[in-house]
Amino acid sequence: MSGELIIVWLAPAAILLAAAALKAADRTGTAVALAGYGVPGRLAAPAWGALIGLESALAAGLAAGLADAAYAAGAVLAGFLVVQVIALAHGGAGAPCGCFGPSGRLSRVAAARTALLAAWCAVLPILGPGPELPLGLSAAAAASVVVLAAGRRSAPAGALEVDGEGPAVGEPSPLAAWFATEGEVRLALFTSRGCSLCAKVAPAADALGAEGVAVRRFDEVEDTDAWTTARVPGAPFAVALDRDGVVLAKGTVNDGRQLASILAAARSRRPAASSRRAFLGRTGGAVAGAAGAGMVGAVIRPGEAEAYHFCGHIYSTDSCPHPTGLPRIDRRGLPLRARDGRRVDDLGRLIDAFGAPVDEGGAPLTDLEDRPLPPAPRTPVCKATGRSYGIPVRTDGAWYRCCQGNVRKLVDCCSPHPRRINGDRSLKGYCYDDRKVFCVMYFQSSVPC
Amino acid sequence: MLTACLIAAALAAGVTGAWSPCGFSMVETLAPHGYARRLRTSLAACCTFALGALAGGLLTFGGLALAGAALGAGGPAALGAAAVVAVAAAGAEARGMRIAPQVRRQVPEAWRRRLPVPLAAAGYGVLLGLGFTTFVLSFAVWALAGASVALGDPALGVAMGLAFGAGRALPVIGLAPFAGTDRGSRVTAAMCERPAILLGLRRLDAVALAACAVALGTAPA
Repeated sequence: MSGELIIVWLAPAAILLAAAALKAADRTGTAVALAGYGVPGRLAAPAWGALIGLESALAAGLAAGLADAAYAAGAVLAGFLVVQVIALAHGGAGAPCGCFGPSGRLSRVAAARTALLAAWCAVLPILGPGPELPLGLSAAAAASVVVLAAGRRSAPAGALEVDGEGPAVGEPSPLAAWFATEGEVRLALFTSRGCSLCAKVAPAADALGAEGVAVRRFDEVEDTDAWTTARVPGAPFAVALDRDGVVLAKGTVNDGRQLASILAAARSRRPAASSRRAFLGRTGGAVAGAAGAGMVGAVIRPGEAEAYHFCGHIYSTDSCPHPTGLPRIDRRGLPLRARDGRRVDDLGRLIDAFGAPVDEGGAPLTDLEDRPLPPAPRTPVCKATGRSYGIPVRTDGAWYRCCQGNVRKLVDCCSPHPRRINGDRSLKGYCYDDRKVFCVMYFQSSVPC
Repeated sequence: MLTACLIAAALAAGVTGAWSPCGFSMVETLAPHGYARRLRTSLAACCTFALGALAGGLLTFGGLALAGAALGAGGPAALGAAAVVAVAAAGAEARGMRIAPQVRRQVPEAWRRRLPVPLAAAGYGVLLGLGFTTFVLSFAVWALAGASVALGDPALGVAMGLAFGAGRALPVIGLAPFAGTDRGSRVTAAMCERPAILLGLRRLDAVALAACAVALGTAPA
């Protein structure tokens, strides 16, 4: 069998497998595309699964050189062609095609491509025998590609805008005073040293600046006042202001697309800002609606917040109250000082092995008469939080992430309380049974990653 | 000799993988006090996880060996190159160097919440067994992948894959049922807090890889 013939058989198999994998990687996008073909929402999930199964099975059959698979692929693709032509005839041009992931659009070119592929598959057995890969192997390879694609989760295109995080949308913000330049829309980007996501977002901010947008970066250490004023939950976070300093959009961002979505949302809201009531009516409190043209959605519902991770954790949930700030704990949930992992008591003092307070050098802390200060209690951080808020809490599940070069265990302090510590509706997170995340903690390992 | 060395190296590389974000997360997930919620489910999930890991390892190393066979591997040049890679990997492992290139991906956390735990565990097992879909904690994984292709022996690839999958599964299924107990917590904490344990394992990887390099270098083409 010639190498050319193998390629002729394997190429459509690869195309079909790519189509299946891209569908598997984007269930929502495929469901949207199917809706455009008239598939009702309740059937979208089974149709999504069936399409993936069908395309990957055909790909495996083609890779195994089965003539029946080639004829079947031709017939199936001819069916797709009919559906596309009907959709085009009903004015569906430009709608999501669903052919290769979310980006493809329905068009005559897309229909022609389907027709070509259908014809290609149908004539394969006439051209000659295909590659005789074992069917089991080709099926296993196709299945693993689809499983891998299904496991891949692309970040949402929009920023995460949560009420209570950052400055209030629609209200004037003192942040405007920090800007040296004027602009129809001004963009404040809050960053932090050592934050890898910030480094990823920064070039996108610079690019927006080069396009004429007034961009100002606020470092967590150097611009503490701005951070406090804006009530920034953590970096990277962006706020868009209008000419008068009114907040148009805000949100947690993880990449350039999400940063651009803040700007798109701000621009789409700007005309309405002249009527503040109308503006607030549109933004509607906790969640703002979809943004400007071209954006899938400029803001994301809090329920989807899992997609946004601060070092892998649900970013919109605040840390548990901790005597020294960042909620670092040991394996028993007791407080440790974040920067060096040394043990601290409930008052935030360093302590020795016996719980006695010590100074940085390890010497006992003493009173004015040189008597050692008495030990203070040392309470698990989650338990102390429950006491402080008067709610039942429990440390439930955890998940490990690679954070700043080391494996970190992210731990949820869970409660049946319907709100998170920052006042938003609570999320399931890593909690069990009917509990949800109240606040978050972490255990730092010494394992490099 | 070569077969034994490669299988030992694959097993050791798999065990080293437990020191990864995904490996630790699996212990939490499959534990009776974790998402499994009871011992019976935990044990079932451990079984499916192990099967998934074996299948994943088989797919990766068996597939690479098949690819090698298709490419006509097995010649002296290929074996020599694999030996050189194994020596380099052994040196890096012995020094405990940071892994590069690294696969900065993890298994999807949501599976354990949305799927029955044994089913999620099977999927996690496959992804961890595949070796290159999540964080890699040993240079041995890269070196063994090279050796699989270079040798182009599907039977040996399958054996390496099963050994690697078993290595990935053993620490997890050995720890998960006891993760909620004092002893289990102590073991997990020791894994997290004592770098010497991981370094020791990586040196074991290094020894196995060095032996593989010798065997590869002296194997008849």
